[in-house]
Amino acid sequence: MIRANTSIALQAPLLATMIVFMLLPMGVAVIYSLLTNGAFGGAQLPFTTAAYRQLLFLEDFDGSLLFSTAYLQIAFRSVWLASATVLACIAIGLPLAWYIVCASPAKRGWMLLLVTLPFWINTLIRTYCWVLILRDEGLLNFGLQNVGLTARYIQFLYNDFAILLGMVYTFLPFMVLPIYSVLERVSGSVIEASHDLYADRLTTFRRIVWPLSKPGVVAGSLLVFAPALGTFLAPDLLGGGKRLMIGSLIQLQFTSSRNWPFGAALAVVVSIAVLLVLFLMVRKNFDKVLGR
Amino acid sequence: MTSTTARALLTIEGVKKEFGPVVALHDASFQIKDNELFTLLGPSGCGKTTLLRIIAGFEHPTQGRLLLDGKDIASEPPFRRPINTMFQSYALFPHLNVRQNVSYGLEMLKWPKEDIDKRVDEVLALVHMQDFADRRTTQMSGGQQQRIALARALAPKPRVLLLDEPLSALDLKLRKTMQIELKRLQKETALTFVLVTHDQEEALALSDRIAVMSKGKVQQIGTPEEIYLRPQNRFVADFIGEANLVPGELLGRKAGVSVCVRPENVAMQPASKNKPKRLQGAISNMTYLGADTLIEVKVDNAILRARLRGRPAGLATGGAVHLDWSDADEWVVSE
Repeated sequence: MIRANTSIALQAPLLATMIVFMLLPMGVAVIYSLLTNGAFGGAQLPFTTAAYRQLLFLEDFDGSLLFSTAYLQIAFRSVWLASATVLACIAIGLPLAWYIVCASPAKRGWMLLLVTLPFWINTLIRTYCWVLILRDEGLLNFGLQNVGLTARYIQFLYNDFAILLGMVYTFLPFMVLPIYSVLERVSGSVIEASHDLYADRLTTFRRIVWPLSKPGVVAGSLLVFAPALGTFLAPDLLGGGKRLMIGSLIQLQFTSSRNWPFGAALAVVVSIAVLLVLFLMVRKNFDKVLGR
Repeated sequence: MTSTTARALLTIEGVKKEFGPVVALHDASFQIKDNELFTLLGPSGCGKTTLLRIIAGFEHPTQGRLLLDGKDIASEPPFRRPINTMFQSYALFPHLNVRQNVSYGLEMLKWPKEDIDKRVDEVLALVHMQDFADRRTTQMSGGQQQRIALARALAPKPRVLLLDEPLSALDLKLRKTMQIELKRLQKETALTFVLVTHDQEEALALSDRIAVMSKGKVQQIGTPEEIYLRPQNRFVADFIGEANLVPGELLGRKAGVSVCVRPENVAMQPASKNKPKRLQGAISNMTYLGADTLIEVKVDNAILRARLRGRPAGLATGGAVHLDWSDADEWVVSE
């Protein structure tokens, strides 16, 4: 009995945090999503599912519903861009984490500091810096023209690649750090043992480093995918605000569009989708992650 | 089963290793023969592990050559050398089970599947771990992990098997058992073992030949008997077993040399009227150890130790004694 009580007491702070910062806001979002849109923003009674209907159907002037893929396309683009961000972050983050692990302890501290340094500056400012670099009269075009590689400017901004670049830049540390923490515990002699047993560098990576870093990659992918799906800074600034992602769409509903129930419904759908992915991944890797 | 051939398998030729300004290994030159159990023995920081890592290929020598079967392999990466290592930390792959660990090297060498299965069963039987093939290694005891590490290194039938402090992580009793096991395995597999240890007793018990190392230099190479009975210098005499290093002047020899004599070879009698054959002194301490008694005798300013069987009669602390030993048991060492 005492043990059970202690266990609850120990979990209490965590549970309280989860309830106050996770479940309560989500509950509020669910309630808002089921209310009627107010004329000047906000939401009012009666309860309705109109907001969810709006996800897939357009209401014609005569009240009939037309199937529309407009929002589905935005959702698909978001998932695609978030997935691409995850893949790019793995491609850059895994070698980077491995490189840091292999460095001397003194260097390691510095490199980890460099990886986390961007966190110290506001994301908005950092993303805006990319605009300054990529815009038509920006650093990149200026540099290319001065070196003589291009005659006139190239438009780097306002396409999916620019959005992807901004997202990878923003979320890369979330991939590097979990992989680093997993690989740090892999002793160097395991790598030496692989070389000793006739495995060259590539095979050692494939057979030893990759399987051992997988729990970190899984954790990093979750940490990158969830916020990447909901981001609106990169599509707004680097995508020009015309190539919408779900995050921008939600943000729009609470600002200029003034359709809070629809925004809330979108948020609820995204949250459920993310939770579902998370649930599937965690269940698949459950014993792997716990085994370590 | 095998006749010990005098053929050199591995020739280390003027191998030197520097880490920045630190010289870890000075100009080591010696040969390791086929089928022998060769030990690199020395205190920590003596360069023995550096030399082992150079043979394995994890370090490359600053200068010198490393000939395996007459071919220079000094610049070859570890995965192209027919040499396997049993690591001090075992370094088992945590995500693979016992069978997968042991077959790893064989898969890399592209052995056929059925040969791999046969060989894995064979080496696991050799280390008495055949019942553990499908277990994970992470929940095993140190002794079990050590056997798996040994089996994994033995499986590809390397030309040279390197063992880095193989027994240091085991408790005393298990260590003694594994010493006998290692010796048996080396005879059964007819492989060349190169072992690194700081434990002189282990080195004496296991080795065909020993290289005693200190401060990055090889001090002496020889059979356990040669090393023990005929140490070439003060360091070797002192490091291997217990040794009395009697200043040369006391025995009427030139100054600067020491006469080495093992405590178990020192005979002792209560002082009589007769002139002592070699030395006279007074007992300063007696320690009864069961099978033996360790007696410390003060001669001038030097302390000599003698190890006598049982509890010797007629000797007591403070008593004057004559010390003697046979000429065959003494040995002059330089500084």
